Amino acid sequence: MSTETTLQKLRERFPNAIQNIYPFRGETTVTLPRESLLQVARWLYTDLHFEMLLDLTALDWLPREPRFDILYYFLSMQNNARLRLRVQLASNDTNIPSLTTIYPGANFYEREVFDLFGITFNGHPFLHRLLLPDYVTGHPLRKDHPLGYEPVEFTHTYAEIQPGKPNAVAPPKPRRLIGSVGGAVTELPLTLGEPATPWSGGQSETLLINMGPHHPSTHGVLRVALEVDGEKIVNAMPDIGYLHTGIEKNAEYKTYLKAIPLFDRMDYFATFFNDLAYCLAVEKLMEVDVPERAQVARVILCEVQRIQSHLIAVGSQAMDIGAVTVMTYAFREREAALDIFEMVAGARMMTSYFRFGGLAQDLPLGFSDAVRAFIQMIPPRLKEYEDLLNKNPIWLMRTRGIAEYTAEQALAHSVTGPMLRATGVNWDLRKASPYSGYEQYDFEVPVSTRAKADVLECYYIRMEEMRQSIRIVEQALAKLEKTRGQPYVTSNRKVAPPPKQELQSSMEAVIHHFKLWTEGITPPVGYAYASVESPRGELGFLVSSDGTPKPHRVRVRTPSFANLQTLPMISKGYYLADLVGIIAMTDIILGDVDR
Amino acid sequence: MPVDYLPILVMIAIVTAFAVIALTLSAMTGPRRPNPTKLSPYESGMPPFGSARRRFSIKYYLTAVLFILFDIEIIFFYPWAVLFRDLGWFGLSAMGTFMLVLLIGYVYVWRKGGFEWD
Amino acid sequence: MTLDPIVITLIEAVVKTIVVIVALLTAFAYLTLVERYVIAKIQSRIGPNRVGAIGGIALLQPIADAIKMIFKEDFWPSQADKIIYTIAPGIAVGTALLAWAVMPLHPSTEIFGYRVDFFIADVNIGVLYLLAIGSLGVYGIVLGGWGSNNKYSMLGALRSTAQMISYEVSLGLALVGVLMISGSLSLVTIVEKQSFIWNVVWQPLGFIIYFIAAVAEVNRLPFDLPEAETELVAGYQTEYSSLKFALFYMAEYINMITVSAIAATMFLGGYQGPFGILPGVHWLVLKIMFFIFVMMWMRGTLPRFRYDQLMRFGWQVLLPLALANIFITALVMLVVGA
Repeated sequence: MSTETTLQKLRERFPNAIQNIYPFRGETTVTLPRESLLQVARWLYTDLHFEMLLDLTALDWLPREPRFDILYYFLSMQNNARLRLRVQLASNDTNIPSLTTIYPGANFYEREVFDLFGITFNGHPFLHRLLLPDYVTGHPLRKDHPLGYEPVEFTHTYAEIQPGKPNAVAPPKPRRLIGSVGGAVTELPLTLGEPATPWSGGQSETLLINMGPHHPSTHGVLRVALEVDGEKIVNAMPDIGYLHTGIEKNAEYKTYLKAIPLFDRMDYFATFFNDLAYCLAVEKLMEVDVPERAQVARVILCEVQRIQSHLIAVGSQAMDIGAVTVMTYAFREREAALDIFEMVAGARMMTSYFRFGGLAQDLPLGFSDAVRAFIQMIPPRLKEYEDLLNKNPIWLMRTRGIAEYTAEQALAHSVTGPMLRATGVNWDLRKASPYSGYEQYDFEVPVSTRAKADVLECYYIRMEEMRQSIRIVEQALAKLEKTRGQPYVTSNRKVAPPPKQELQSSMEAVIHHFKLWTEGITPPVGYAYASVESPRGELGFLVSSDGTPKPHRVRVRTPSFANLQTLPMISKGYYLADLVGIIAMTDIILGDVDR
Repeated sequence: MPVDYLPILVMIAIVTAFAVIALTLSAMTGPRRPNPTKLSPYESGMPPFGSARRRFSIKYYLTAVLFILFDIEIIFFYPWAVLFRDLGWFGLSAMGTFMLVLLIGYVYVWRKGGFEWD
Repeated sequence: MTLDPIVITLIEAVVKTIVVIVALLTAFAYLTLVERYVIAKIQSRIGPNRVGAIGGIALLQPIADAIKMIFKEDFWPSQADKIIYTIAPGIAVGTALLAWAVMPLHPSTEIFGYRVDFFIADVNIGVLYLLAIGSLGVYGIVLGGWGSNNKYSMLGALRSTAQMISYEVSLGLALVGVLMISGSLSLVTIVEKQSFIWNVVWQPLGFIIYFIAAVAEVNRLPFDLPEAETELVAGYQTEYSSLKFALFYMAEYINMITVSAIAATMFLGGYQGPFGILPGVHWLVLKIMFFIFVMMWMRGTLPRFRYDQLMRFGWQVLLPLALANIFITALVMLVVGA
């Protein structure tokens, strides 16, 4: 179903609700009044098969009134359609109905918007701060939030920072709240020895345990508050924000180009994907063409990195279940991938190699050989892991039937990536909405054939995806040979600097260079969303421009953030020992979750 | 003979001395710079919820009871095994009867879900 | 001058005990190095190669580790039960060492016209003694977990207790077959009877059951749940530091040596060579090293069981098998003997 028919149906069904339809760069934004939001969303979900609330965020146009744009981005996998709803809120009335009853996945998103923008979602089961500690005052992503000091008080204490801020208030009692998805909620104390009531009310002999943020197997600084009965999990509540560094806020104070290194720090095992999605969004906003060679290079680097990221996912999952050897083997292979990244970008992890319209520089000599050696090395090594795991009865016992969830549950919680494909949903952006020329490659999307996903199924999907990535890289290497000597970055001088030799002969080139280096790029007013299939799912960037050289807002839709939401649901009733395997299955990167 | 056990007593004494020396040594050497955070129980870097000493799940208790049952059974097995050659078929039938009674209990526990840990 | 036989026995016991303890501690120290090295090789890493390295192996590493452990801060958590918390590692290491009192190490020989027995004590209930001491070992862990007042420690200790007592049943039953063949509870007698054919030939099933149960008894992969690092941080050892931590570690490795030595003694003829070739302590050491290598190999290969799977395996697979083994042995012995 095309966007036109969707809009047609929307007009017919809700003739009075639509305030405005704004098409821009191939995306459609429909503006609604707050009152009809729930109605329209429910109708989209039931009648038009928009199964997933992909993203929910807000924009703050400070001097303007109504000040806030609340953006809901819906995805229909069945029709391969996307639709954005926008609700405008005035600065003195920031209430909006919650969508959690229709899309349970809205839970974390609404909490995040509440936390960072101060928008109140009426009807949300647990509307508390998500990323920031409770004692923080203000909402940092608002344009009028005072800057200075640390955005989040880590090295300085509250008492040191607070008096320096306008509207200083007395520090609240330090408590950190943990919420549940649709379940009971409790307040957990921060002071030693204070009793805590388990969620289940304390009738049964349950024990409350903290797992993380400082724990060997929570894959970073994830905190999970657990209620266990013996060894069995009664409740598991993820508590995030320990790695929140305000990347989205920081990006608003950098030029478009200088924001790239910030995004490397989000999903630090998939840096190319972060950069690529951001570059694609800016390229979409500015309508820049990317030359063939750059596209092929991007595909190769991304697929090598997908292999690298899945190696870590599989290796750390095996380690969490006790097979440490698989982890050391996987990290051995990963070194070879990092060598390739070092070769092109000079950095092994924080690559920052992609630029708007292409690459930062041409691929180095010997790149093709290094990649070819890498993809030849990988298949026998994958076989090695499978020899260790696939027929191992203990491994099968520990993974088969653990954390079962269905496609409906996954879709409802906005899950994407291997976790979604493990439920049998065939959805991969490289096929569904190809970018960077993925339509030219011959590869398959591994999809589970079982009714329910579990830890083992996710492992199989990741192993198979690595093999498919190798296929893509093989084809891309052939293409790369054909594009030898072609430009690696766009010739659009508003985006990419002219080559050095041009500067000596052309005044225009000098002006372009000067503009780019002093001011940066200035996209037109509007916003554009571009997404890539990262190793963890759909990674999307919404770049909003107000016509200045700095982004008005960069919103990142990270896959780990949405995938982590499923944790309370999928871990309930399993064992404490399973939880580490389940966290490893979701393959979250805390930099990606907390940003 | 009781005198056979004398070396064991000697060993117990020496081993106890070793343990005491090691524990004293560890208390004497090394720095001593305690602070409240260091001395608080480790719970993944967060202040712990409540106390760790509380009633724990009944299933552990069940395991202990099962253990006592079967461990006593083993004690009966040992002298029987040593004298098995002399006891012959009579020994086997006697132990078989004893085992049968225990097996009934074992099957009962199994059927009642005593070996299910969920 | 003639000494009272009791005094001679006492002096002999003191000397032997000290020799055995020193040997065990040295073995423990170097076992940590061997383990680190073997696991490193399995996992295609380099392993320790810095402290006093000869040929890429850090031969002085254990000494460096010991010195470091001694000079680490030793603290008592504020909510810990101080006495229990302190004595727990002592109990763990004490029981681990005590098992060696009845282990025959070498055939008795005449030295300068004086008969020397290479065991500390030959008691007529040797096997029973081993099991009894082995059961006491669990106290170290349980008290350590309880005394720390830490939830991870507590869970680790509970798991550990449940696991160890569950597998002790199968372990004890696996040895019954050997006792039926040997007709004695004295380890010395059992070894002497295996001078030509080892018990493993008659007791293959019993041997396998024993080995599995023994790996579970010493909390090694795939049964290392009590200290499952990925979920329980370090299990009952979480709150321990300095030499107290080292004592737990020591107990664990000595237990590894002990169960290997029991396996060698009960099933593989102890100090007896194959077909009676050159009996001596070297065979025992070789066999122990073999078992320990297998345990390290398992650690480098297998993932970890989950608690319920482990308990189910112990009670529903190993226990019936061990009982069946006893009856098969009895039937075969009666039919062949008759």
